[in-house]
Amino acid sequence: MPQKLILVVEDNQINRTVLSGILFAEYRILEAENGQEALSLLKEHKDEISLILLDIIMPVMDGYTFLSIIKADPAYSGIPVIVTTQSGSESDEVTALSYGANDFVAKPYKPQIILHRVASLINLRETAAMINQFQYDRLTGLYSKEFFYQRVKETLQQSPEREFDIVCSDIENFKLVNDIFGVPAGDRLLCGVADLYTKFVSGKGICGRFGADHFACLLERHWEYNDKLFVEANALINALPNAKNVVVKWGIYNIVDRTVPVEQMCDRALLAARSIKGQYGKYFATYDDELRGKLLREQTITEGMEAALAQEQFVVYLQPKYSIKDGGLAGAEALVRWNHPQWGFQHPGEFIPLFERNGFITRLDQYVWEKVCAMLREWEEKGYEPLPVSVNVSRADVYQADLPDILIHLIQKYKLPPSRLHLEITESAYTENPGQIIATVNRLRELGFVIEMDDFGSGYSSLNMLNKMPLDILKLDMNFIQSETAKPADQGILRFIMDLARWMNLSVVAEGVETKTQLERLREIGGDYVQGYYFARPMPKAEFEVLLLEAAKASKEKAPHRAKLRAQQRPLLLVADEEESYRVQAQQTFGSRYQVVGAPDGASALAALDGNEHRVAAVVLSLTLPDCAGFNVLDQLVGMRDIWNIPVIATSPPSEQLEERALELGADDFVCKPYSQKSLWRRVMRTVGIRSSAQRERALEKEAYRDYLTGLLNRRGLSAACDPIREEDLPVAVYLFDLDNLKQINDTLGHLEGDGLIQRFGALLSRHTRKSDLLARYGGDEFIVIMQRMGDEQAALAKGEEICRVFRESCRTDRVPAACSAGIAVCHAQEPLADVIARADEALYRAKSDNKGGCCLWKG
Amino acid sequence: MSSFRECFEAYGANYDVTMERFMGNEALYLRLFGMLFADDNLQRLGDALAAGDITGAFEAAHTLKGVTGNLGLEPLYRAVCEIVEPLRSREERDYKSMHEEILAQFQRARELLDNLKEG
Repeated sequence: MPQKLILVVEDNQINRTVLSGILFAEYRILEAENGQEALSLLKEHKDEISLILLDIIMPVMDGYTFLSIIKADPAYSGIPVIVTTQSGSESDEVTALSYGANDFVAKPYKPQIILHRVASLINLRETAAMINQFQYDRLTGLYSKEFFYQRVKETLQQSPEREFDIVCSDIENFKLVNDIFGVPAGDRLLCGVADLYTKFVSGKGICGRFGADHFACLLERHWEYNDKLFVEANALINALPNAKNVVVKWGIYNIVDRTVPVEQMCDRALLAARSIKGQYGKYFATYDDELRGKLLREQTITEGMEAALAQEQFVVYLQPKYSIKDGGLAGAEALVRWNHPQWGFQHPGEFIPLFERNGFITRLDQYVWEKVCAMLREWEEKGYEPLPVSVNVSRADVYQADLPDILIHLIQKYKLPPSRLHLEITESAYTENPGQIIATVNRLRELGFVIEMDDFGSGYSSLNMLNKMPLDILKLDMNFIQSETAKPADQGILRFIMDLARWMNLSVVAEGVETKTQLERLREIGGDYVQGYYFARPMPKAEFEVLLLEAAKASKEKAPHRAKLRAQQRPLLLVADEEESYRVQAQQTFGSRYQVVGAPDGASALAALDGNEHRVAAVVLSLTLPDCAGFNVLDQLVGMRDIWNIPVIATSPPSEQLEERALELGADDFVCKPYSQKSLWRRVMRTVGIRSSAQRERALEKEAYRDYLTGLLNRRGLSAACDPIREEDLPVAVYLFDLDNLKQINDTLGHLEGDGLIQRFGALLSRHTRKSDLLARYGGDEFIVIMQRMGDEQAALAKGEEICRVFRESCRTDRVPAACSAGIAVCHAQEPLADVIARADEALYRAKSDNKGGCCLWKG
Repeated sequence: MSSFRECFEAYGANYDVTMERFMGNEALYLRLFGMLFADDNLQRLGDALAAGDITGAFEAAHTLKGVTGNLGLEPLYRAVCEIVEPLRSREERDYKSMHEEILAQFQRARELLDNLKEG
């Protein structure tokens, strides 16, 4: 640190030199011979000068004049001044002090005294400056937190007869203002708020800022606080230039007991403000016994939560989900209940939000996941229907990087398919840092977990976001549905959401269904599953197991195709045929790819379509359904073509008339009975394939890169797949194989034989190479193999010889006397692949001319 | 030949107190001591007294007091002190004899300086 700078103002050179000599070891010194000179030096160095040593009696401008000038100028008035006087001239000293000097020293100088006074004055000034900094909030100029506390204490002590309140405020979503409009805009808003506070409190109290968006003031109690006051204050704040719909919550602490520490008073006022966070239309709250009770209770809960987890006081309840269509049990949601040994059952609405705030939710969630997995395992072993159970995944869980590991570990531990565990992630979890959450949830989904979006409609997701969010099932928030069902059926946004879900191929679970009206409404607009008190309350495991048993019985007795709660439903293939054998065969043929639904007549065909239009891939429709229903169904399908374009493949025994009529009506294809399953498969694939043109294009693209005979890459595919040679892949071996005698075989045995030979060689190459190697059919009878990290020339040669030998041997038993030759080039440095191929080609040429059926390694 | 300290103390000055002010640097002291005789305040004091300019005489004497005090020239310092206070309060006094005493002490101081330089 550089030494501090002292300005010595003294006309007499001897005195000046003596002073400078004394100070010289510890300070840097500027000297001035008179006041005038001192002022110009001061102007030049004002921020550096730590202290002025001033002689009073000087020519040109004496010390008093100099003092009055600098003490009147705020830029200099803070610099401490020590006046040098003659010993014994008390009047000089007094006059100097009255002019604003901070101290004096007498001539003849006593070095120790001078140094001491100089040091302590400089130190005092710096401390004062520091205190000043701490006293005021730098941004707004209000008192800082610590100093506010101090001032409140003083005020309370000085005015024992007056009554005061602490009023705190908290700007909701202030971070959002900073986020959206930038920190400078947020800062300007804070300054605006501070100004309002200053104006309002002026003369009645004091105010401070506690960091971020928390303001506090001490106000003398003159009134009852009412909404009007705070509504107005809120309006004033929102009228500030940088305020965009900010919501301010106020908390009041009435000071009654002055022995309560001021810090606690302010805390309590702030707690009161926070207690109404997010409550629309609530502007202020007073810290009172009720709030105190609530906070104390929260504290008790916090203290008891660890033990509760250890002692398994948390119990998993299950709330059944039912299929709207057939009323069957479709799954359950796991909900946690807290059975406290003294307090009894605790309301989740009380402890869950608290756990979400204090982070304990993560541990509780994991506990529930494990309990649920254990249940699923147990049911599996008891042979119950394998219904999925959904569990909550809190926002805090999603932020944990190892969430997928934790879940996978559980699934493996209890030997369950991941699809049995549905993960409910609340919509609002996506609002902060959506990128990361989407990535994590995507990963979970890839792992096979089924993602349900909880509370859909309650958050802020845009349609755009919804499209990016990885999910399988939408859960509609009950409040949302409750307000929606009150409206006329056609006007609801609910239908829109349902259509949206259909379009995104999502299932919809309506949660919190409590009345028959709600259910009817949901049925009307085509919801899939319901959950709610109207059907069943959350229940203990044992009770749910009774339902599981009943469901199993029911499904055996009457409804073999129960609508189990599924994630992404497989596309559906409807086979409407009066002959059971066709339906059964179709099930076998298409079962792996589609959910095949058979319908023996028109009515059941239409029933199966109803509500499933979005996922019907195709309909195989017998035109000879009983009661001529075939054409009726076709009519209906064609009739809704502008909404659901479902391809129809009509079937019937040979009848030109029926075939023509069906095609005329709009059937996409016709298959004549009796048909083979293979031909039906092709028809269905073709018809469906045309519909999904995007997929088809991808397939075509793939085809364009593949050699049709061998399935290896073709030349185009090779150049697309071939990245430039990378350093870490060296050495790279390039093989060119040439089938000897192919032309002869084609000529003598026909092209079919030749093609067969090519195919066999392709297959052989695949078997004798690694997955990472690139294989391509390079030309008619030429193949190229690129092997990375090949070791050395000898290894490359050995591999080539092995392939040639195996091929020769495989052909020996055949009637075709085939063999192959190979040219090999190994590259050890990064170079264009084409050059390496050219060398391999040279080597191949040599191999062929030397001895067919051999290998040649290129040598420079 | 006497040492610096001996000469200094023989003159009537306090070596330790004075030299502390100069960080024990005798050469520095001698340099500043020499400057005393180039200083015009003695001249100004004489001129002001001759002209009856009490204010001017006070300012000059005041400065001399500070300088001689800092130089630790006790006898001279005392002589200057004698005149400063009456001048400050503008008393009617026999300033002439006081001035003569100061001149005499100046002469003694000059001799001290010479001795010190020779030493």
